[in-house]
Amino acid sequence: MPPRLNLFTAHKAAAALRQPASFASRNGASPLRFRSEQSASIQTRWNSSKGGKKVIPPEEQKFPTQDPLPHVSEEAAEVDRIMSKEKSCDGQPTAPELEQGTPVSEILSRDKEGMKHMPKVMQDQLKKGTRSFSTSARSRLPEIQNSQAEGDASAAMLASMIQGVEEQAAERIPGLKFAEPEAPRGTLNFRKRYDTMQDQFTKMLMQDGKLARAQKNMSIILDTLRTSSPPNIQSRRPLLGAPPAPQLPLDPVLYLTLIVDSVAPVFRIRQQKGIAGGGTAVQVPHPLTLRQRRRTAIKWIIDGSEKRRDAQLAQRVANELIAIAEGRSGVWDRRDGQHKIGISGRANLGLAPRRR
Amino acid sequence: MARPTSNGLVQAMQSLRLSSQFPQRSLIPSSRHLSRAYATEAETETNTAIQPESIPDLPVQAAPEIDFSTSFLRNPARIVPASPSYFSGSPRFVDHVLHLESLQARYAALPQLPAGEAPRMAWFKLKQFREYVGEAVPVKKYKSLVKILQRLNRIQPEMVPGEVRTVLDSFLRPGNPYAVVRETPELDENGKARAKGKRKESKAVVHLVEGEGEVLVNGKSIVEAFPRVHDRESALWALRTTERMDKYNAWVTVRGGGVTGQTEAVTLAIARALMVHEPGLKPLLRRAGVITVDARRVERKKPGHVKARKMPAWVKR
Amino acid sequence: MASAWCWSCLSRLRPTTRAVLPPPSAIPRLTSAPFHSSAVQYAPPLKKKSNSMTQLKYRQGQTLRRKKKKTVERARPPAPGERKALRKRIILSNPNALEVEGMQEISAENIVDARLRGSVLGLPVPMLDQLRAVQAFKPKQGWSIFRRPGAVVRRDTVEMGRLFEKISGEGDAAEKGKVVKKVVTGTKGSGKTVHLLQAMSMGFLKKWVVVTIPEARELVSGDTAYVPVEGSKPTQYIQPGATSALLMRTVEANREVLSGLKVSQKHDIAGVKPTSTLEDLAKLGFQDPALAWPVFKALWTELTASAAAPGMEKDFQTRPPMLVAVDGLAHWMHNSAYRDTDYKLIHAHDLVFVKHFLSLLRNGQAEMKNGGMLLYATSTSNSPGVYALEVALDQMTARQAGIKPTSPEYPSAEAYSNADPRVLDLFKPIEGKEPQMELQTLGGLTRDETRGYLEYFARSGLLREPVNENWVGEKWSMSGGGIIGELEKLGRHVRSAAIPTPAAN
Repeated sequence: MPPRLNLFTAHKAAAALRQPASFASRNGASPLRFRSEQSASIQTRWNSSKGGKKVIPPEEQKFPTQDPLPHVSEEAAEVDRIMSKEKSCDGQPTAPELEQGTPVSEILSRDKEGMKHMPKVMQDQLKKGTRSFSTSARSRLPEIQNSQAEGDASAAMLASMIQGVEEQAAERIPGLKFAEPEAPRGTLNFRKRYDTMQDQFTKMLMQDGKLARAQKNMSIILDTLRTSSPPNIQSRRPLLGAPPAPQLPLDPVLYLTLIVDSVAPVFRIRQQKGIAGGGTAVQVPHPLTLRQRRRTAIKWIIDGSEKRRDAQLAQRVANELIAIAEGRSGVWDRRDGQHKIGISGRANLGLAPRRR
Repeated sequence: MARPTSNGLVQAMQSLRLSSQFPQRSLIPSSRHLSRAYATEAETETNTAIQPESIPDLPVQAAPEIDFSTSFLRNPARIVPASPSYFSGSPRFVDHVLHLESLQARYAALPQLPAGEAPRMAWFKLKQFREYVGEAVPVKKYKSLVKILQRLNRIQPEMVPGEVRTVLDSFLRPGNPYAVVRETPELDENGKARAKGKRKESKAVVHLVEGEGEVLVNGKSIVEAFPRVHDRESALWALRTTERMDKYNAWVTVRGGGVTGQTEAVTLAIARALMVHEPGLKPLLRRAGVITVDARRVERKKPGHVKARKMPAWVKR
Repeated sequence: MASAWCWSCLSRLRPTTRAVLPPPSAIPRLTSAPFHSSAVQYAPPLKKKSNSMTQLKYRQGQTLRRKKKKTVERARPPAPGERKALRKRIILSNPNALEVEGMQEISAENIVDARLRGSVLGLPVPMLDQLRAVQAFKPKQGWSIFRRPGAVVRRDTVEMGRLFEKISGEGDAAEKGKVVKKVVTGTKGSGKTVHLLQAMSMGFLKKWVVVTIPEARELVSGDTAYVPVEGSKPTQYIQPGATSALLMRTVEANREVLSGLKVSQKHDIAGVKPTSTLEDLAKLGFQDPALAWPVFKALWTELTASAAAPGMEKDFQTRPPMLVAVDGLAHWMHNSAYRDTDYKLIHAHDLVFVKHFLSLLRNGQAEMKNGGMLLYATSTSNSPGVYALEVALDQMTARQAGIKPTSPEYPSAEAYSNADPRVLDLFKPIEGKEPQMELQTLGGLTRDETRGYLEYFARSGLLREPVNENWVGEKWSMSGGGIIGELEKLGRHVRSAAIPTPAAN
């Protein structure tokens, strides 16, 4: 029988073991890292097979008792070098961070005056809400991409140069008769051609599996949103992260998304039995994913539209959507009620039995 | 013979057995050979050699003197299996694995091809392999064996040792399915590409030529054939994503099925025809999902069900 | 109360016992039985049949199906007529759409400007009322998504503009008094109705008299009253209600022109004074539908008069040219829904109203002395499918392609196809007599026109995609070669690029 230990892979492991020691020796200047690397190398497996054992040359050998910090005199010399010798042109001592490549944003975060004058892109990035997490349903990625895409003349020139190079590359690509197609805007796959939100809403409008009819209804809804007057938004019930109201009808899909996301509940209420004892159910809030939240909201909207008097389904739903945007709809109350129950049921979260 | 007492009968039987000893003895080892088609016992050879000498003599005879000088030293005291994996559940399979592993270890230093470039080999399917070794090999274990085979197969072709080559060939299924290279479709003399597509019950045939973006479906304008914008968009998606809409003319014949089926059959056919013109577009078309065959068909109706899945309603009486 | 007997068991045993046994309802009340004296009620109660699950039949479901309570409280349905009003509603403006900068209005000067091809010309606001009066707008056209109504200038439009100029007696090659007769056809969504609308707007700009029949079907669908004409052979029928509506439309739209023209002929209609204007004349037909047809005839003779009757020349003004626009011509080519006294269907050509307008179309017929244009459009969204008309239009196409009616290639109705001879007769060629009927087939826009049209969408803020050569080519193909109705669908088709543009927050 061959040995359990594969010798052909053992040398890789040995290389991995070897690495930290030599790496640590090269980075003697940073004591903290040095210490951690040192401890890692000490933890090497002593019980590994003899064949894999590596003889460490004496000059690379490090021992736990060895002082991780450089000598006091060396440190003093280093401080002196930073403070006195390596001064910048205006006589200020250079910060070590400049040499070691600290991100500009980190420096600016300490410099209040500098923050005012920093580029807009960075200001946008720094602008964050009070929460460390985002409840926004929409991705911020395209925004950043858009802002990057807008360049000045030099950037355009650079882009044209890049394009020229790419065109040359395209000529060399075999099997193409015409210019290589650009990367498409948005999605490429024809099964995902519509906005996810729009698609989900359409599918939920569908009755008896008639997708074409649902799509027709969806287009009527979007047209209604497009042609109806801009919503009169209540300050008590604003749409989450919406542009000014007059701009909304021009982008009906965004309008629809904002409406649905604004009334979407953050959690559902689970009736949990067997926590409190006595067979009574306890209401426990349970978080929902984005898709689930939207689904709940759409369901509520369609339910709410049932009570309207318009003849057409699409018209009913569209009117309900506008009512939500203006804060008049009962869907808001439903959402608020659910949130109220959830907040009062927060205490029950810990009671939930751990699932195996 | 004596009169037929019970004693006499027993005696007669004994004598019969004794006299017919020779043919019986000769039968036993051969049947044992049949049951084990491979040599697991080292002693068989010596046994058969000794027997013919001992049998013609008297029925009762002392065993010959053990010759310690020759055979006993050569043969161990206990019978030892030929294969070290004799006591594993599936010795032949384990033998193969061990052999392959030793080969792999021996030739590990030989240069290899990148994973995708190794010649494609049709290894035994699991069922065939089980028949080949005559053991119930588990799926997972066979997979690990195939992994070793593939590793050996990646050795650069000009450096493959003959030993490895013969071993690898012994694991190939009869007939090489990858030997038949499918003919890549080409443009005909008029610069026209022809391709087919299917979806649901529909079948589409597309003739694609370079042109100005005219599309005719069953001799009609595409607007008449597919009144919905969604359908038209689907049908021309391949040309649309590759920005070739105004560079080709398509003549489409589509039969059978409903609107969605016809539309997506056309999608597939146009994408394939476009690949004949420009094979370089394949990655893009793959990402666009237009050359992915949707093999779903209507699920059959089952007995006891109302439709494919629907069960009849429960009635109390 | 349920019977204690199992009737089926008993009946199986002795089929005849049923008649012998007492009726089930009588059993509990029986105080004594015929064969023993103890009362029935003292007998131990019959053991109730155990409610065991009887053997399920083959293919029986196992799930319990309860009837769900329907709790959906729907609001009352809309009031009668509301749905129709919604369906017929025409909205001409979307205040949310952006104002397109530098958008020109259609005017008497720029209708012949070929440089404007591909651009969208707005309709002037005062003209909208006139166009609404003649019902030029149809509900399913996409007027409601733009800031203001407008129409694309395409090749056919410019050609039509030239004709208008010519007939009005302006421009280089003026042919005042010429009559142009056109049958407008084309595939679905190719802009036939909007072509008529553009013609009407040009008519209004050139101060023509515009007479329209926006729905040819309404005259033959049997919805309005009809009266036989006394002594006509074969019997012909007048539709007073429809005529009255036509007079109203005409007066409403052409008030300015008609009020400036005085009566110049003698009419035996009560209430017509020599000083009354044509508007006053037409208004006589409003009040009394019985008078509507004679009033319309009188108005027609006034409008087509080239000179005044003797004795009335005092304030005779030359009559303006006329535009007659009919939409949905095919409905006039078969039997109407009206019945005669024998309960037979009346042919549309026997309706006087229809006959009048069709006779204008006839080859060589030159009743319109002051010139003008006849535009009779077919419809594809609402068409009865008349074989004879198809043949007639094919023949017209062949004639325009230079095929003589005597040649073997000239299309003719198939044998035994029962093509309506009256229809074929209407479209039959008459050599040598002007004016001749023409066939105008509307196709798709060219790529440049397509681009202009789609740019209009983008500039209105409805389209959020960069309009470039490639994109336009794609839409052009997708719309079956620039079919404008399809382009409109594509333009308003919302397909944002999967991720909505994020908002600044």
